[in-house]
Formats: sequence, C-alpha cells, structure tokens
Amino acid sequence: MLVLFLISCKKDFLEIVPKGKLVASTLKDYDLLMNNTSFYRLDVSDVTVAMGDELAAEQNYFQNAGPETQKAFAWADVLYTPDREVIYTNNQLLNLYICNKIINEVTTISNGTAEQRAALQAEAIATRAWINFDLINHYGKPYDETTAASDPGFPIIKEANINATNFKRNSVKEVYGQIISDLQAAIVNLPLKGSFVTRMSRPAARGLLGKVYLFMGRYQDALTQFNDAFNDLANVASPPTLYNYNDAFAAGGDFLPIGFSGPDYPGNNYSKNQESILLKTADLSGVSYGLVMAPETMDLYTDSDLRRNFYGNMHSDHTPIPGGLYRKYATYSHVGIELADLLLMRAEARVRTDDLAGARADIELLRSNRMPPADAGVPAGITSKTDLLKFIIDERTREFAGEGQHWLDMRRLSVDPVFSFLTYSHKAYAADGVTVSQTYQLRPVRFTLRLPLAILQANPGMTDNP
Amino acid sequence: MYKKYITIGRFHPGYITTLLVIILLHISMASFAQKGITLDEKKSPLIKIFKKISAQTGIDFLVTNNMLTDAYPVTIKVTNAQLPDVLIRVFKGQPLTYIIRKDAVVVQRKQAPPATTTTPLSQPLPRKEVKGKVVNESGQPMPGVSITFQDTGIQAITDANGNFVIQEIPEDGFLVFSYIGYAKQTVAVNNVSEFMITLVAEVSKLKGVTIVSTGYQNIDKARATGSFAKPDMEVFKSRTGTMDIASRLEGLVPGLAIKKGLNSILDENPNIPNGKTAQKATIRGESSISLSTDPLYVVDGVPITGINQFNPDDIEDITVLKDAAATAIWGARATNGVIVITTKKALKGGRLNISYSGFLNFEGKPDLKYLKTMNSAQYIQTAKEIFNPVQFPYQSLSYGVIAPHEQILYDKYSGKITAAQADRSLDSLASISNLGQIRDLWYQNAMTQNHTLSVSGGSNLYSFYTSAAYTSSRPSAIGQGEKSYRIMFNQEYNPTERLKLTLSTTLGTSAAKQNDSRNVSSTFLPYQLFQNANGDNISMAYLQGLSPAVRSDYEQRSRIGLDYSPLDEINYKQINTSNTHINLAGSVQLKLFKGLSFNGNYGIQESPGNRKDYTDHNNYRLRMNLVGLTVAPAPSSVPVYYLPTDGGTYVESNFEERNWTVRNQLVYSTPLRAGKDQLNLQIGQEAREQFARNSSTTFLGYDQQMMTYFTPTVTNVYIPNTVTGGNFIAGGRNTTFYEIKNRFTSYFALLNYSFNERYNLDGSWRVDHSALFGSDKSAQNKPAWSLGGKWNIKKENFLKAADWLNELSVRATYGITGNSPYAGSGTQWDILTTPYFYNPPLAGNYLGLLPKNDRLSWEATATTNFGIDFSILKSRLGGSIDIYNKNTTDLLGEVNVNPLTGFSRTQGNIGKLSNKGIELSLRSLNIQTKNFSWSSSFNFAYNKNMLVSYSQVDPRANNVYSRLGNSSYLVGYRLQPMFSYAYAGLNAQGNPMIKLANGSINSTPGVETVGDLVYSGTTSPPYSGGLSNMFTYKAFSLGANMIFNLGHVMRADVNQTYTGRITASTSSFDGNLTTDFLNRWKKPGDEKFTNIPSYMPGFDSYFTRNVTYYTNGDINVVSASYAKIRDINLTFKLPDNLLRKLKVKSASFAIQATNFLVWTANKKGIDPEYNDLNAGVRTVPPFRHSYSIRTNITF
Repeated sequence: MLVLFLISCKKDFLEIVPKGKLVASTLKDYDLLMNNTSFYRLDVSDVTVAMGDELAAEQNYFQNAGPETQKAFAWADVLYTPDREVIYTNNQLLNLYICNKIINEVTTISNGTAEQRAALQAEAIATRAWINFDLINHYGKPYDETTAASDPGFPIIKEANINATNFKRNSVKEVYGQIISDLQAAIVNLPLKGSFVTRMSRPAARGLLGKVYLFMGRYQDALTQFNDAFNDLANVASPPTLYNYNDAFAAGGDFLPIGFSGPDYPGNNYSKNQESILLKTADLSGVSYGLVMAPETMDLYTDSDLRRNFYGNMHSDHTPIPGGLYRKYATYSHVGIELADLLLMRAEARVRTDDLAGARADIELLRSNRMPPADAGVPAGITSKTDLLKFIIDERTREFAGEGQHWLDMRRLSVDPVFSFLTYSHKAYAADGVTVSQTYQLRPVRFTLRLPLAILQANPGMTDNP
Repeated sequence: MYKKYITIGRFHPGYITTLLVIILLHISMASFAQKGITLDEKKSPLIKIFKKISAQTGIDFLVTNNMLTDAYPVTIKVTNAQLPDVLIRVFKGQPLTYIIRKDAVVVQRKQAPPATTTTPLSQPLPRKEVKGKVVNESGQPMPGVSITFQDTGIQAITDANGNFVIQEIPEDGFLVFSYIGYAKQTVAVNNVSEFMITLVAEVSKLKGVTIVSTGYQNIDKARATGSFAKPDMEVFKSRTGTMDIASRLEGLVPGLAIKKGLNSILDENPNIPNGKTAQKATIRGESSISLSTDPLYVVDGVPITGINQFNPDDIEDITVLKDAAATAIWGARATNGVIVITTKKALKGGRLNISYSGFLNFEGKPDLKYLKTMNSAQYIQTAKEIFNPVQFPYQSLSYGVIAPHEQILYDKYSGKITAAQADRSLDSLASISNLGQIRDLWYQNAMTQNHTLSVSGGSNLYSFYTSAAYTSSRPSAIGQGEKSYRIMFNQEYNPTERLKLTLSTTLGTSAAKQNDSRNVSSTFLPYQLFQNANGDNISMAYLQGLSPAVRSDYEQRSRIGLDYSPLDEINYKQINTSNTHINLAGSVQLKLFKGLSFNGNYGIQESPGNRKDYTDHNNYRLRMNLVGLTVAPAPSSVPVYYLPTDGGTYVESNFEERNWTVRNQLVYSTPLRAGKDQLNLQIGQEAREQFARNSSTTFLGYDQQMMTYFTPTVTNVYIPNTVTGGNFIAGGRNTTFYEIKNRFTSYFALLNYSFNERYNLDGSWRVDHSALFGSDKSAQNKPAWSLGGKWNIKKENFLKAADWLNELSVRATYGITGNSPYAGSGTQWDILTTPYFYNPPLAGNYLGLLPKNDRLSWEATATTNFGIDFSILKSRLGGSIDIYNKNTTDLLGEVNVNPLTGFSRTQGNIGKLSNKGIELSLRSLNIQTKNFSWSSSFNFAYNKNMLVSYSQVDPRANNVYSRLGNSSYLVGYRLQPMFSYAYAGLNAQGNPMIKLANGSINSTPGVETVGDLVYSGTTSPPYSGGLSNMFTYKAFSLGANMIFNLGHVMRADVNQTYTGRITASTSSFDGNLTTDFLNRWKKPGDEKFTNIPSYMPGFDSYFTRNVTYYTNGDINVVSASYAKIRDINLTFKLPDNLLRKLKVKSASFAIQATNFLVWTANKKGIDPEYNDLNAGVRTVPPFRHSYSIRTNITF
C-alpha cells in the first residue's frame, strides 16, 4: 500500500497517453492523415449526378427513388428537406479542415526532411484546391469573366478551427484565384508520383489546373498545363495507361465476364485504377435508382463502341427495364483526374487554340482504346472547329455518361458562346418505357445549387443563391 | 446468569461496577425485551413491583436490600406498557435511579446533592483520565454521544469512531451517556479508566436516522449539516421483484428518481460487455445535458463502477447524499449526488449468527396485448384499401419484401388469380391471429431466484461476516438466462486497541447465455403464424426481400439454400458470456496519539470476463454472405466459394476491467472547552486508476468440436461476378483491441466543529486532477468545497421544557461540486485516432481526427440547501424539509458548430442550468396498540430545472425539426422540453393544418418557423415521490409502497405511417400499424370527423404536406403523470414461543406482488413507463405483474 501511495505521488502519474490516440508530431502522422478514406472514397452520393441531361427517368422505379434524387432530376429549387444534411458537402468541408491543418502545421515540425515536409504541404495545398473547385462548381455560378468578380461564390477557408465564425462568401473570381494560386504554389514541390494513386502528384495538379483554366475559358493556359502534365507523366515510372477495351473485352480480358452487375471494370471495381492519375470515387448507388440513359445518349454510340458494354437493359434487381431503355452499371463515378479526361480536355484546348490536328490525335488515341481501331477515327464529315468541338463534347458524354461529369460540362458550356444555344430537359418515361410521362426544363438559375440549410443557419448574414 | 430477581447484600460498589462492565461488554444482537407490562398496584412495595415486572418480562432487577428500605411504595396502573415508560413512573420520586441493561435493570442510589460549601482545606480527590467507546446494539460506533460527568457537568462528545476521552475527573462519580432516541445510561467511574458502553435504542417503532456516512466519515445525523437521506431498509430488503439496487430504492428517498421503462438502463461500456448494468437514477434533477447524470456509487468507502455486482442481501445500510455539504468531498464526481452503501459487518458476540434468505420472483411473459395494433381482419381490410400497384409496380419489388397479403393482391391485379380466389385467400388470412404463437414460441416465463446464506460472529479481537449467494435469472426472451454465484467475506481485526484493520472481499462469477431470439410482438404482420398445424416451423423467405425468382436463381447457382424460418434461426446463434468480479476493500485505522489517527482505505476491483459469440453457417446472414462471395455464372457451373461453407463465424472476446483506489488520511479529533465543543479535522490524499481492455478475435468457418477454422486465401479484393453481382471480400483485420486507462489524483480536507452541542459547522475542500489527455492542466485546478451549519434548536434552554417536541434543528449549506467531461472531449490539440475499418482501405492505413476544441472547462454546480429536521409527539411523527437551489455553470453539451469549419457538432460549454426544488419526507407511527400498528412514510420532491443561458448562438433555436425531435434542451425552458404544432385539423384534401403564430392556418410544408411551435411541457417529471404504509397485526405485516411521477407530458402513440407500402421489413418484425389508421381521412368531408391524415402512397407526400403537423401536433400531447403501487408485501413472522421451540432466532415468510398502475392522467391507456415519451411509441412491457415469495431465517 505504501508502494501504491508512492506511485500515486510520482509526478508523471497523470501523464498517460490513451491507446489509439495521439497528437500529430511526426511527418508520418501528418502523412497518414492524407490517407484518410474521406479524401478518395466519397461514399456519399452527390445529387448533381442526377442533374446531367444525358439521363432520363424510368417512372416505375423513379417514383420511389429517394426524394433528393427526384428533386435533383427535376432541377427543383429545394433539394433537401430541412431535416436532411448535405453529407457530400460536409465531407468535403471535413477534408478541407485536414488539409488546412497540414498546410499550417507540417512545416513547423522537425521530423523528416524539409523536402518531405514541403512535399506533404504541397499535397495538402493541391488537395485544398481540388476541394474548392468541387465546392465552387456546386454553389457558385459557372465562371463568367464578366461577372465573376461580383458573383457570390463560396467562403475561402484557410484555417482549421472548429470555433471559427464570421465566414463570408467570396466571389467566384476570388475562389478561382485561390484555386489557381494554391495549385501554382503546390506544383513546385509536388512529387511526380504520389505514394498511392489517391494522393496528389505533380501531373495530377497540372491536370487539375488545366481543367480550372478550361472552366474559365483560358484555353491557352489550360493547354500549357495539360502539355506539362503529359510531360510529367512521360517521366513517371509505370505511368497511368489506358485500358484497351479491344483486349479487355476479348476472351480472357480484364473486364470479363460481364455479369448481372456488368463488366469487372473501373466503374465497379476500384482496384482497377490504371487509368487514374488521381483516383477519387463517389458512390452512385444513392442517386441512380430509377435513372436510365436518355435514348439520345445511347444513340451517340456506334454499334462497335465497346463502352456500350457498360450499359444493360436490366434494373439492378435483374428485372427488364421497359421500352428497351438502358442504365449504367457503374457503382462508382471517378471524380479525380482520369487519363481519358486529360486527353479529351487537351483535345478541347487544342481545338480552342486552333490545333485541330493535335486534337484529332488525342481523340483518336482515346477512341482506338475504346473500339476497334477501324472505327476509331473522327468521322470524316467533322472538319470545322465548331464541329470538332461538338464532337469532343459528345465524346466526353460517351466516356463519362451517368457519372456526373456531364453536369460539369453543361455548367461551363452555359457561359460558352459556342454552345449558348443549348437548352436542357429531362424526360421521365411511363411504365411502358416509351411514353413520356413528365418533362422537366432546366432553368439557368439552377446551374447553381442553393446553399445547405445548415450553413445558412449558422451564418445568418449569408445570402443564399436564388 | 442471574436468577429472576436477585437481592444483593452489602456489595462493594466497585464490585457492582465491575459486574456492570462485564455485562456491558457482553454485546448481543438480541433485541430488547419488548413485552408489554400490565400493572394495577396501589401503594405496593417497590420490591413487589419488581417481582411483577420480572414475572411478565423476564427482566432481572439488580438491587440491594439497603436501597429497598429507603424506597417509597408505588401506585401505578398500566396496560401493555413498555418497560422504560413503566420504570419512569415507578422510579418517580424515589431516592433511586436505574440503568437498563440487556436483560436486567440495575438499581442505584441517587447521588446526594453536592454540599453547598466545601472546605478549601479538604484533600482534593484523585483525578484521572477516562476514555472509552460507545456503540449501538449492532456494535456500530456511535459518534456524537454526549457524556456528562454528573457532579461537575464536564462534558465530552464521542468522535466519528465512537471514542471519547474525558480528562481530569474525580474517580468517584458517575458518567451519563445520552443520545437522542437512546436510553440514557449512567455508569460509575470508580477505578475503571476505559469503558465500552452499549447504548440501547429506546423502545419506539419509529425508525429514525442516526448515523449517516459520506464514504469518508460517519456522522451522527443529529449534528450533520448536509442533506442526507436514508431509505427504509426494510422496504429495500423486501423488494424481491428486482435484484437491481437502484430500483429497490425507488420512492424511498425524496429527490432520488429512478428511471423506468425505455432507455432506463445505465449502459455498460460496449467495449467491456461484462454485464454490469443498473437502472438509471437521478438525484435532485438532471444537472448535466451531455454528461452522465447518474449518482456516484460508493461501497465501503470505495467508488464502484458496477453496483449490481453486489448482492442486495449483503447490504446493511444506504445513505443518499444530496447537497454540496454532503457530497463535495467527492469533488469532480459529486454533482449528481452520491449513494453510499455499507455492507454487512461482523457481529461481535462470541456466538455465530447464521441466516438464510431466499426468494423466487415470477414475472411471466410480456404483455403483448398492450400495443394497440390492428388485428388481422382490420389489417387485411386496410391493406386492400391502400393497395397501389401503379405507385409500386410489382416488377420494381424484386429486392423488396412482399408480404403474403400483398402477393395475393398483386396476383389478383396481374390476373394470375381471380378476384374470388384472392378474396378467399385474404379472408382466411384475416381470420388468423398469431399472438398466441408469438407468446408460446418466442417467450418463456421470466423468473429470478436468489438464495443467500450468511454467517457472522467473532470477538473483540476478530470478527467476520460471510455470505454465499446463488442467483438465477431468466428473462422472457426464449433461451436466455444468467446464473451467478457471489461470496462476500468481511473481516475486522482489532489486534491492539490502537489498531483496527478491516478487509472486505467480494467474489462473484456469472455466466449468461443468449441466442438469436428476437423481440416479436403484435407489430409484426398479425396473420403470419410461425408454426403450422403439425408443429413444423414455417418458412418466411419473403421477409429477406428476395423475389422467388431471384432467390431460386441464387440458390441454383450457389447451391446454398436461402430459405428463412425465424424459429429455426433462434438456435443458429449462441452467445455465452462469463464474468468474474473480484472486489477487495481494506481499511486501516491507527491511533497515533491523543486524538490523532491515521486512516487508510484501499480498494481493488478486478473484473475479467469473456464472451463467445458463435453464429452457425446455417444462419441466414452467413448463408447470404457466402452466396455473395460465390462465383457461379450458371446453375451448371461448379460454384467457387470464397467463404467457408460449414462451421460458423466465431468471435471470442476477452476483456478485463481493473480499478484501484488508494486513500490515506489523517484524522484529528478532540473535545474542546472541557468537552462542550468537539473538533474533527481530516486531511488526505487519494489516487485512483481505471483500466479496461478488450481483445476480440473473429474466426471464420470455425468448427466448435474440432476447434479448427478457415483461413481465407483471398482477402481484401473485389470479387466480381459473384452470384449476387460482385462483392468485396474482407479479411485483414481479425483481431481488434481496445484499451483505456484513466488516472485521478485528489487532495482533500474536512472540518467538523460542534459548539455547545447545538451549533455545528462542517466544511470540506477537494481538488481533483485527472489524466484527461490533451486537456489543459490548469483547467483542472477547480476545487470543490462546501460549508454547512446546523443549529440544534431543541437543545436551547427555551425549548427544553417543550415535551411535545423531541427534535428541532435547522441546516444551511453552500458549496461547489463538479462534473468532469469525458476523456478527450475537449482537447488542446487535434487528436489523431485509430479509425475502425473492416476492410483495409485502398490507400492503406490512415488516421482519423478529432478537432481541437480548447474552449472546454468542467461543469461546476453551486448548491445552496436549507433544511429543517423535526420530530414531535414522542417521536411518533418526524420528518425533514429541504429546499435547494443548484446552479450549474459551464454546462457541457453537444453544440452545433458552423458547418463551414468542417464539423457539424462538438462539445461546448453551452451555458447555465438551474435546478430548484423542495423535498419533504415524513414518517409517522399512526396507530400503535398491543396487537396492531400502522406506520407510514411519505416523501415528495419537486424539481424545477431551467436552461438559463447559452454561451454560443445555437442554430437549433432556428430549426423546427430539431426542436420537435430529440432536442433535450432549449434556453429558457426546462430540460427535455417538448414542442408541438398548434394543430388546426385536416384540410379538404385530408392533409393536416397548423395554426401559425400570426394566426393563419397553414398546410404547406416548410412554411413554419420555430416561432410557430408551441411549448407543451417537459417529459421529465417535476413532481415525484412515494408513499409507504405498513400495517402490523400480531405476527403479520402488510406493506404497500406506492410511487408517483407527476406534471410531465408525453406524445401519445398515434400512427406514424401515412406513406409507402404497408408491409413487413427485412430488419425487424414489424409491418402492422396502430388502429388509429382505421380512422384516417378517406374522402372529402371526413375532415369534419377525424384528425388523422389521409394515406398518400408516394414520396410526394414529403413535399406536398407534412404529416408531422398531426403526429407532433399539440392534440397528441397528453399528461404523463401516473402513480403505481410498485409492490405489496405480506409478511408473517414466526412468533417468539414457536421460535424458541424451533431453536430459531427469527423467521419470516413473505409474498409480494408488483406493478399496479393505480392512476394515469392520460385517457388513452398508456402506461408512461412503457411509452417513448418524446417519440410517442409504445413498447411492450416485459411483464404485467410480478409475484414473489421470500423467506428469511436466522439461527
């Protein structure tokens, strides 16, 4: 007992660190934070997937889909009932906290080399840019140079502080400015290849920066970044490569067999990520119930296009979809930087900067991996700059339909004079799969989502989008 | 020892005294002779009176002839009077006085009054110091006994251990020991220098409180300043309806509320499933929002985490500490009050006491008829009415549950069967009721039995109490049960007069089993039987949500059956948990020198246990997992299984809990001012550690017999094209670990001062430091302290003459107590955590993050308490009144933070909470005659709490949903506030309408703001209490204990479902609706007759109307007040003459019945104990009434 008494009086009696917890002190601690699944498995559905006009609804199922999916498909003003949180956005804000923590702290530790610390900080900065780009594409208007300085965007958050208040919406221009400066700052210190494909690398950051410029209409700047990204990739040991679908769907191929849930391909299996430069997946199951491909979308494919294998005419429960409608098998969408995206974006930047031949080469490189080479060429009739541009946009739809990417294209094209004629509508098909039971028109105001109610409530001075 | 009556010749007075001391040391538990005395004498000699009393009572008189010659004759007439009363009358005016002993009355001469003048030259008498100890009949030390030297008036008071010292008194004289409620005792000093005095309680059946314990010290209730309360231990012992110690206290202590019904179990740590649970309890209202509001349990001076490891039969005494003066010594854990438990201690008496007590309690089966669900006919009729194959096309339901009645309706719709066939099938379903089968097949009769055998005895040097108990409890869920064995061994050593050692050892072991039995009730499809007429279990594969076509395809390809019969599943899972509890509590009391002593308390609790959870491969979920990881493209292909096809999934967990407490204190106790005052000082140090760990390993394909298991060759990859589509195969993490360690160190001081016997002052101070990782140490320097005063008015001269008043005192206390946050809730830094993941993540290991939140500090509660204790009419009516005001500041709670920070909620010091209240307790002996007595005790508590302020703006205040939902607090309201809509009936479409604050009527969802809600009251009862009555007639006694909770509200259990299909679900046995649904709006015009909204099939319902306008409407808020007779006991005690023949000291037999709802304020037949007060959902009561038989025998 005396011994116990003495123990209890020792100075370090209370100095115990609980198991399973620690305070970040080493480079490894900070590094493991960047491995957080919240950065790359966005396991919650982003309702904007349902807003792309490449989709239609199959009434039988769709009428019992989640309320948010139904509202998003209808481009309704209010998507969430007040008791529902916007989990997708909350997840991105959590990621932002982790990034800001690393950005603000990692250079103050003494563990590791200065280069390692700078590289990790750069990774967090570039990831912050990716998050901000995602947020501004939800809650800010599409970038329009003439109004961007006055269009309300999203708060720029650079501090990891749970007690912070006084947030204000920065303008769309300010947010884009922040994204660009973050990426520029990060690129210098980023490694050519991340420790895993989910982690930021220099080509990924350059691809993202190019995409940002593309969304701003700064095509020359975009092209520079895309070219640099490809140059970086050329120097990477075992770089990302395209699957050649002609092989993947041949006997014994990577994507076979095609089961009830479709082929064993990246849309179903995130271990198959050789095309990813930056792998980030989002769950589609929560937003795809009752959604099918619009017949017009399926018409974009030629018969030999092997990407058709990603669609089936059975519902997820193996019952036939009426009217010969198709749905996409994919259970994940890829929301990071994919090689196909980089190729098509460079092709677009090349067209915009009048390098049509270069663009054609990029397009054909992709297409020759997606269908028999004989059919992979850009159709002969497409010669003008505008036609080629439209062909690229269609190619983007063929490549990414049903995964949310098209909604982003719709947004940016809405402020592009070349495509300003476009209007969008959604059709819901009745039980026979043929009769259109309901049509919804997208009003331009809905290119921008309203802010989550919880954010408005916590920031009383903040104005919502119309 | 003596003849019935002895006349002693000329004894030397010293000899008599020596004899007396011998008698006094002969301590026994045998109670004082309580036989009535009847006398009718006129001027009879005193000796004759003595003889008569002796004849009637067996009491001996020790008296000398010399004394008798001086005595006066006596005239007395009494009927069935008690000895002390008789003696008072007999000795009135006599030159003699007397002392009552166990079975003798010692007669003495009264001292001649001291000479008025003394010669200064006379030889001074030799002076000496005397000391001793005063104990009660049970051998427990009695603090606060006043000792007066008769000649000079020099006084002393016994200290906390019953010891006293008087210095400088003449050898020749008498000491008078007096104490409220006890017979005065006069003892000659003579040559004796050390006394052992036993005070005998005055014969009065009214149980008063004498000694209270704070866990740190025992205090005489008469001088304690704090608010202490004690339950009636007789009722506590008789409550065999439950083994739960907290539940047995219900209604017995004012201000102690025991939660009943839903969410009322104090959860064990889920990581340490050692079965330690207790009923939730609160003392004086909830003084925290997010922290535990349960009191601290202390057993023999040591805080205990799992109170129910103790056998109620081993408990001697309980004190409930309520205000700051009583609790502050427990520092940062004191805010919720403290329940101090003392276990049975050794009985010193040179002989063994052997006791047996046992009971059998029968609860039976759940009350399935309590829920007001539809019967089959109503259900089928409703299903027909709302069937909607357009909204819910059959082909879209391949993965949905299609209940049998729906299948018939779909078949009829699609033309597979005719309307007549369908009606016949539906009619036959409508005529079935499955309640009988549910009752018979899913439930067993719940019962509990407990047997305790105890032995105690010992001498002054060594004494012990030991008990062995067996408890078997069987809940109503079929196949479940628990058996436990407990041993207690309490020892006391007094090797020298300076040293006392105690050691209390408790050892318990329990084994519990459970299987996959489920809570099936009338919420399930009312027509679905579980067995057919032949007694075979009925298959219900549809409940798993696969259409027959899909299921058949899965089965053919995987070659695994996917049938599902709930009754078969019961035995596919077995969970066996075994636990051991070892509890050691020791103490040392060492007298150092004059009044100074060292006290040490040491406790170790060790609870190892293990849990074996085996799920057979026949279990549906395991079969489905296997199918999901089986590759078989066609029925003809040989299936490739990635998971084992036999054995089962076995999870073995080993856990351990180890806590220790060390407390060392110095106690200084001394009389001052010649014994008029008494000072008691304590300082001490305490250190504690709490440690718990668990490791849990999962084995697949485990063979129980051969102890072999399956090692997956493929793990952590996606297996495409399995039978169900494609699946990720887990593996990786087979063993998980959990470990937590907390340490605390504290310093404390205590002061008690008694002035002139009637003014008492208590003070305490304590500071606690804990190893709260990541928190700021300086934030821990918040001492808890208290000050209290008590004025014993009855002892003032002006009240001495008031015979009707036996006790009157007033108390006032003030102090600060604390409530510390959970470890890690507030941190100086971001804390990185090990996340739990089943599959190793794609990008490898990672760390989770808890955000830095450095603005947290401890909750502090300032409590002011005023109290009055009184007792009148020969102590036949007594009671206490307490008024308190508790103000808690820096209240911790989960607050919404700005979501832009990355987090939605965190812990914050959200404000101030006040608890005000009044408590009353009354005890009375209403009637007492020779054969009959009636006593009552009543207690009542009123508590008003209010959240006074927030330090942060809470967005909740602007959110209708969270206010209606589970919001447990709001500024300016009581805790657990309930808000509702001002319901305004249905509109012409059958949609509910509300009245907005501006007076307009609205039916559009989303229009309402918080300002449109109305406050309907609180769900936590402001008034609570109990009333106990005990009637005794000869050997029989009848006790009834009632409890009541008043003044709170609840939502009535209205139907909640107005959208979607009405069918069963895969997750639980539900599907039925309440009968309210029958009266819903069906056609325009119905709104004149009903308030119940219409049914609307599709999700449009969520955007076109708001049915919660109705379900959360004010019309559905009803009073939750109720009173219940918790238990009724009839006890028969064997009469003395029979006991003597049987050579048994005491024996009693009792029967008990429980749970009689005598009154509820609501008219809907809701028992508030079995209703989710906020959500308005009834739950099935586990039983209607329980019945028990009990026996106690002491040899």
